[in-house]
Amino acid sequence: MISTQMLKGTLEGCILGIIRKRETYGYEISEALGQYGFGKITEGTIYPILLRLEKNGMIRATYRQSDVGPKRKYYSLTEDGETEFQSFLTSYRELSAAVAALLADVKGGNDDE
Amino acid sequence: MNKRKALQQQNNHYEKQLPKETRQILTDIVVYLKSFPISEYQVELVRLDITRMLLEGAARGASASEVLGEDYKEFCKGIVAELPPRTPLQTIAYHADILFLGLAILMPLWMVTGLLDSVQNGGSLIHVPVSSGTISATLIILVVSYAIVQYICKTSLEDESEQARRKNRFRFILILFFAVLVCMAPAILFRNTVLNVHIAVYIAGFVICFCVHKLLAAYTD
Repeated sequence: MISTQMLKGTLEGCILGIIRKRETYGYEISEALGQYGFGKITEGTIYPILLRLEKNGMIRATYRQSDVGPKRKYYSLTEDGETEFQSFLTSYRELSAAVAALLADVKGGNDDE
Repeated sequence: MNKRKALQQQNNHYEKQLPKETRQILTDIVVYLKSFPISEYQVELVRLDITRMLLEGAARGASASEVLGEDYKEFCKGIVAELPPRTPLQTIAYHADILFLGLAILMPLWMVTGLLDSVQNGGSLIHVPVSSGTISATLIILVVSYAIVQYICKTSLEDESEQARRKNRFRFILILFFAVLVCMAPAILFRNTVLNVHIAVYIAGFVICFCVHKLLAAYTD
């Protein structure tokens, strides 16, 4: 299971990535995260992130009829959201490469012992 | 009807479709959100989103904690961090609104008791006597009622068993009873009239308080 602290820094970018693929809504996003291997992430966890992304103009919401209850909120990426996602990709690749290099070195060190 | 009231009615309608237990959790969440300095309109917007999540969750057979997570307090704090807080002017207007609403509720009560006192003492019905007791009681009632509302909002999501809840409810009613006694005591004990207000002026004062409350409520919505 991925630790909450590790998730915190990456969840926002990952949610942008899911919305970038196609217009989607809260529950579908939490299900998609689960299928990608993030573990159980409830709608309650991602709702404040969606509020933040919408407030900062990264995503926009459209209301569509739902089978039950009020109209469902579908999210799509804005231009600012696309820029933010690209920035996340660059940062994440740098981080991923740095961690991979460190782990390879540490693993190499372990092999030497 | 203003935007907030229309949204509130819509939310009330949808909330009724939730299972009883989930509805109680939603109520606790909304009450807790009201303890933060955010507008009533923002609370209603969030309430609509949460109601939608819970209704769709209930249709899938998911409980409130499966939809929102186990820690409702953290969930609320996460939401509040993303909502625009009240501006300093809105905060002043919000508290002034509580003050004027309190006065608009208490003034007719003090008028009736004051006039009854006046008639008993052979006075006229033209002037409303205002005693030092009613002034003190007004201040105490406003402070105590504000404190009680804040206490209810802040503790609405305390993790308690049903037994502890019942015990706390009994304790709360007891505290409320003594609070009412403390609030009313000055009005009963200190009945010396400090000023006589003409009934027309008194009623005008009441109307002004009520109108100011309505204006401030519309501004803070």
